[in-house]
Amino acid sequence: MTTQKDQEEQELLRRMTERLKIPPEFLEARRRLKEAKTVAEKVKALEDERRMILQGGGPDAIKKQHERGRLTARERVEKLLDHGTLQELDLWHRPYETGFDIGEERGRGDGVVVGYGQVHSRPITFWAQDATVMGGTVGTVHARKVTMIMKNALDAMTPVVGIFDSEGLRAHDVIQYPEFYSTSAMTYFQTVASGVLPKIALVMGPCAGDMSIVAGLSDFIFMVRGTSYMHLAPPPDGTSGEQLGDAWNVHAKVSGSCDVLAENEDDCLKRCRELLSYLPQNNTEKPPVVDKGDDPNRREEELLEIVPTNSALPYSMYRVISLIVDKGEFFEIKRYWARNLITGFARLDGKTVGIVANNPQDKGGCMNLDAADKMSRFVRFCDAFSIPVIWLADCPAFLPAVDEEVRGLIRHGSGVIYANTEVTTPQITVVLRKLYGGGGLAMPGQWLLGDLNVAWPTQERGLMAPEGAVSIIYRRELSEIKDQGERAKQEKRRILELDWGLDMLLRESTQQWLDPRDTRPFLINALKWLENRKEERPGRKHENIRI
Amino acid sequence: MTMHDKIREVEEKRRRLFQGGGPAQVERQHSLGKLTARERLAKLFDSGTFQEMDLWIKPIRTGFDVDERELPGDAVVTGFGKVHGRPIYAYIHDFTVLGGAMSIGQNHKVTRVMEKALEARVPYVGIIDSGGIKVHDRFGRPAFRPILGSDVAVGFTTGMMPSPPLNSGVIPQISLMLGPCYAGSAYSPVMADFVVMRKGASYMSVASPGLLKSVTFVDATQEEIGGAELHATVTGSTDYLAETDEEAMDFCRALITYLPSHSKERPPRVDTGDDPQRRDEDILKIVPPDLSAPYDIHEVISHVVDKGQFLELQRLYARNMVIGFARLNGSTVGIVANNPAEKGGVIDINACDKEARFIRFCDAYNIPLVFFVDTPGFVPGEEEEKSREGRIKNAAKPVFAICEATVPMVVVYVGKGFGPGRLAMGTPREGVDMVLSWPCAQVARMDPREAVDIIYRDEIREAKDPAVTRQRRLEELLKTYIKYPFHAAEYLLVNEIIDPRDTRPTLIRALDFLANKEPPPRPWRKHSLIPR
Amino acid sequence: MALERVEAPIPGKILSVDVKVGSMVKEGDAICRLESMKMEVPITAPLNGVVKELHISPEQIVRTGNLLAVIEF
Repeated sequence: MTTQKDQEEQELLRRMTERLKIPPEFLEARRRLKEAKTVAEKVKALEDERRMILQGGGPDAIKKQHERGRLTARERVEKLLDHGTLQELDLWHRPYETGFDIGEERGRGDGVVVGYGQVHSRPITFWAQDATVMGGTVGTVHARKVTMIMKNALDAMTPVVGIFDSEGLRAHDVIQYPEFYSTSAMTYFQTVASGVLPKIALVMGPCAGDMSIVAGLSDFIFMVRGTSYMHLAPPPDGTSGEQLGDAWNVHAKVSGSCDVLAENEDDCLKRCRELLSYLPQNNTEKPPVVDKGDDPNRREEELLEIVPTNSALPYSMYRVISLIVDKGEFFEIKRYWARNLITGFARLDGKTVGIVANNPQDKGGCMNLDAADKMSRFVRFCDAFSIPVIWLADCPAFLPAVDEEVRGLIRHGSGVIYANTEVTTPQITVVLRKLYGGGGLAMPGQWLLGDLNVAWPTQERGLMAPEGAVSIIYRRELSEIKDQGERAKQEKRRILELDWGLDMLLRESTQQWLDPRDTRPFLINALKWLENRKEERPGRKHENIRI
Repeated sequence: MTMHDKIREVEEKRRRLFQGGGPAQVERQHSLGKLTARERLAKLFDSGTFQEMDLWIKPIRTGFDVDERELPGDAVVTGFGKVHGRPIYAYIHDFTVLGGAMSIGQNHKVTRVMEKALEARVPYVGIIDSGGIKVHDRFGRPAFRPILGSDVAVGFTTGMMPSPPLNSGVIPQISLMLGPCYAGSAYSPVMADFVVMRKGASYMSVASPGLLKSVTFVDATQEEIGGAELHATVTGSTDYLAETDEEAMDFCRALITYLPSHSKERPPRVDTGDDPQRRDEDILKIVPPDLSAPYDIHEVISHVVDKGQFLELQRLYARNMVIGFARLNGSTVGIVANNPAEKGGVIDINACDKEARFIRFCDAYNIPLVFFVDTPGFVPGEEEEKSREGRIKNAAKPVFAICEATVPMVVVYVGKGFGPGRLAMGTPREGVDMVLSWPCAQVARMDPREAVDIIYRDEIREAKDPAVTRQRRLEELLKTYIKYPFHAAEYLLVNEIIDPRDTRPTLIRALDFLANKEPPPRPWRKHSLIPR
Repeated sequence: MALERVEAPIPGKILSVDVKVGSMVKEGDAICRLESMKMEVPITAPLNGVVKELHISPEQIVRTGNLLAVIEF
């Protein structure tokens, strides 16, 4: 028999739930929890409710997501983390009511999955947008969850992986709620965490507007070929977001915003795990040591033959790298952008190193503007996270070209000197072959405060070749010789003299000539020597690098 | 020999060295419309304050004929002196001596200036006018490793390269390019905080036209690949385009008055005699209340700041974004403003890097920032989205710079501010201290036109006349949800709505209270990783 | 089926053309070699596919951005 009080309560509840449009199954869940007599029953009730929430936008939305070649947020996170380590937080969070009919009353978790877990038994923090709930749009609560988990990550000092799959800001929400939590707050934490925690963005669906800036503030952006796209402004009439911000056609090849291009979703998550295995948890730690079982004293006969003595011929720098590093494993960053320069992570005797190498198979290995940006960004990351950098140099010059100059080649090129000088982790330069003119500035050697400067026997370097210098140094002398044959003879003699001087310089400025076969043991021994390298720099808030 | 004889001997030699490359070379320099090194230093420093160092240096022997020539000062004048009473170090290339060739000795002298300036925590100015590296030194002379950190650096082109990055953010660095400057010789000066170039006289590029022709078969003039105007308008590598040597010196002297000597100092206060309470009636006439027509943001700035004095930087580059220094009640502020008179004030890639680097400079040197915002947002379109420069990373730069900054920051919304463009101009959650809005401002987290398209997508698509439906819904939205100017204040995007005439007093009051701003310490890091 | 344009990344002179229209190429296979900066620069296929068009012949001088070949994938 119901009392008067019960009836009043029922009526109140009815009116409230009607106003807030609370779905009956949630009401039912609440009732079961309230009325549970034992803890076990309470657990059961919550468990049922959780299962309901974990379905996200429901079977139809999940099916649609799968049809697009995309996984759901929770499927992605499960693949990203070690089995059984996923801990989700804040899944009961309700979106703010908008008064528009967009289904926010069923959007528990507000379109984003946040939490922590482990990758290769090391903790990470994640957030993953759930496109099945209101298109993964960013409402106030969504933003709050992301901001809160970023702050958690900063306190826990773990890497952060953000999975982007969102149609953008939730217009219905942002026009009527204060800016307590917003994309602004996300950018703030992305910035504060910059250089403190490794931040990885996995763009696995649409990523536009404010969210593209949040992604752009990450250290590494992964994109999936064909199914992910990223752009800033809304697409103009006649174009689509897919076309405007395509992973392959725009970001991998042209804009350079895509650090790792994955072939599909599984590949993307697998490679994210792989990248994390190279990185320290934060900037106070050294990178992890992973014993791959490769002999540190391994000499490679093949290295002896790899660089052609004819310096006009290219060769595979990738092959050189794979022969030197542990088990040939190399995790390349920005593979398809500025291919004339190779950047990526590898291991030497189990320890992570950053590799920066000219690629003689692209643009002859010349440096250019994009390569300068690629190098400086990569090197600064390595420096911030205590990763030693190895330079493998074969660079004929900075590429002379009008279109590069008008883009500001000098300004961008100086960024390389800037970054390389700033580094206080161990820096070793191995000159494989050419290093002429400005190319030398891009490779720190010793004069940009690097530690070691060694060379293979194929080394050629200098400000310029003797043929060019002779016309400057002996201009007057040569012009005074009237007889043409005599002048040519004298010029030849002078060139030989200059060449001799250049050779002497080369011998003197090279710290050691390596047998190419010994490169791996040499580098491992040198890194051991430099393991505790420390260098103080003048105190400042921050530098003012050319950007 | 008496002491007087000895003094006379020294002075005679000094006089000879002061003549640089000799009368013929000096005349040639003048005929190019350029001043000599010593004439330049006389214009840069307060009269009688310059103390020279290392005048007597003898160039290192190379084994070539050039050893027989006397090269006074090894083609550079170095030392320190005062500019408006403030200590400044300087190095000044002497083009009359072997074309200002950068030799081992010269680089040693220049590196010494850079290092001593750092240790003294004093800014330095470099005046660049050099044909390039002295080739003779690069054949048979070894490069030494620079040893830094209060030890004497022994360098080749070496010490010159690491010094600017190490000094950056500790002492202001200024480069005046008043002559040619190619490749290796350009990299060091371009790393300075401010670069001034001179029209028709200074060229900065990686390749010379000759090299370009010989390797790539392309004909191009000096102006096309590295002229001062190119850098001022297209590449954005220079902050100020001067017509003459004198103008470059004047700009440099004026610039120094705004800057502190080092990163632990506050910028100097200069009594400008302008009333902090000044309310300007004319300010009401600049901006159309419905933002229907473009106007020049410079007018707003000059009404607000002391005596209307605004030292603009990069005036000819990305003109849709205005940056520069001014004073409020005598204290330096950095001004960042959209300019609706240019491209409607949109934010494009060039505007982003212009803005971001300026913000970072101000932050490094304790200079508060004032933003005047009126922008429709980031420019839409394929050209920018698919640009090789990388749209996203460029858009992230100013956002990063603002979030990173810990100096006082005040935003004034003069007109439009919404969407991602708003993030690039400072929001409360990015660490901005005070956000003010004029009554004509239109501020929201999302452009209402975009919001309408999202919220009423289906309705508009299915309507008989989509344009009419869209317009009706837009008007409705602007009446109910986004009601200017109150919307932004109601939802905390803005702290106060002010009478435009009160802009100056309000800014001065806010900055006065924020003078000792010190946000809670951030987690330790070696350095941040601003997107590049 | 989509088309991928292969453009000259660097100015120079074509030394050799290593494929024909209709050739199958794998990512990294050389399409042609050109001389630039006193170097032989191979121009490689950016992805796996079939050569659909060829716009070059030996000795030809090309500028940055010139279309060299089109690959269908």
